[in-house]
Amino acid sequence: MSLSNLNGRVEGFVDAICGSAACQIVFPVGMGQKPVMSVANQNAWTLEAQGLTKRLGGLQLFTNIDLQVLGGEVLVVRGGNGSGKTTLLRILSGLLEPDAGTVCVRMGLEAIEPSEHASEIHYFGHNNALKASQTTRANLQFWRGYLGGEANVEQIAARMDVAHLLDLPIMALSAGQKRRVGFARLMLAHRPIWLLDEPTAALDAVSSALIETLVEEHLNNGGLAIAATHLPFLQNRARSVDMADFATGTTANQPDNGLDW
Amino acid sequence: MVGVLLKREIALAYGRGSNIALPLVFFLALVILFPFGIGPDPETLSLVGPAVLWVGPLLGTLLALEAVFQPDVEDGTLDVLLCGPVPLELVVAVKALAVWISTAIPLTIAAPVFGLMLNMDGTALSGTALSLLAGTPALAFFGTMGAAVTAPLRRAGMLLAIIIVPLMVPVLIFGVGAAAGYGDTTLPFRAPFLLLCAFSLFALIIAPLAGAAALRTLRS
Repeated sequence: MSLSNLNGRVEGFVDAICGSAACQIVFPVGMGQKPVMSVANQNAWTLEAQGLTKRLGGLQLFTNIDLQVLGGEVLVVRGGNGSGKTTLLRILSGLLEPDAGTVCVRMGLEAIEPSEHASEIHYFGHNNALKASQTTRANLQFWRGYLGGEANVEQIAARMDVAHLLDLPIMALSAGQKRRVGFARLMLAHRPIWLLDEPTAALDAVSSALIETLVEEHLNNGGLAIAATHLPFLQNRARSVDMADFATGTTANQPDNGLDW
Repeated sequence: MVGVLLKREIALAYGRGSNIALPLVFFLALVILFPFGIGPDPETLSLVGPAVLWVGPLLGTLLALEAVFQPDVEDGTLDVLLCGPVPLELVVAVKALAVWISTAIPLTIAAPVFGLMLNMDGTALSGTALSLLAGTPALAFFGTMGAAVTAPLRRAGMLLAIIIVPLMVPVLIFGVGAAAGYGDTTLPFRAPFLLLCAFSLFALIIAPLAGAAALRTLRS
């Protein structure tokens, strides 16, 4: 049986239970149910958020966001500038605290401690987390070592089509090349959950397609992804939510609040 | 993972210049200009020598601090460090250690050489170098703590100085005290030197905890 088939079954199964009664099973009653479900779910990652509410800079960005993304799924978060896409991703990654609500990462039915989320999540923000003065190779080797990855830097660079840039300092690269080198960090160390903020911004069509292919591979390997973007992204596969559905005031199209970093 | 971070921080410091060359040039300028201001009397110079050799590294360290967290904030590295596999306290400690190695150590090595321009003898020079070696960790660690507090602010150099300088005053007092007491029969060496070591050990523990706590408040 192929991996995507298995994922399909897992999703279907989890959907069936989670659709209505997930909370009772996971939270209050919890562990008593575990043996029954563990066979089907054992290798399925879940990222779940409940009742997320955030106010930033005097603006109510969003209220009561519930979402659940399972291994093999990608969720695309849409919305205008300033609608809170970045803030939502930062809350999911643990970089920001929500005013209310919880974020839960589960492997099968086993909840991962929030302090351990770091080893399960890749956050790919607006900025590429690259040092301009250092070479592409030095940057990639640093992240590989720091994040405890085992991938081969040359192979990953070749995959991202930046192999010819390995010995150039980042400052000599174009915006799209930097984005690709930045994305290489996600492939250097394995994390099942990818949170991508405008992953294809500044990229040409070929590079965008490459990123989409890589995300799709990640999904096929049982990973999950949430991408905030206003561009088309994995349209054949993605579910999407619109931040406007969670806005309580007229927050859409507000200017960026400057707290994006 | 920690070793990789330390190695990169030091490599970046060497690439930046503001961590090594600038504090050294600043220190040298201070030592050269001082005799012009105070007059060329050798007695006076050797009297104020240890104090000048202490103020130089102290202010020189301040120059390097703005670059500890600010670039990481701007290029997004801090986000990855904040949700990375290494505890934040350890990240702050490694950053402070890198400041000490890349900025404070070169200044400490330069101090006895520069001291020759201030008519200091061998005993005074080695006393000053010894007290700098014991006291500069406190400068680097308290400084990094201040840098963490001001991390989200742009151009935070002035605020950083205001926060850090009061913490550096006792280090300066005991540092110069220990330097003056070294090899001297009337002034104490042991007491100020041990207090200096105590300050450095205190900074070693407190600064990573406080710095990490400051970075965590960025979440709310």
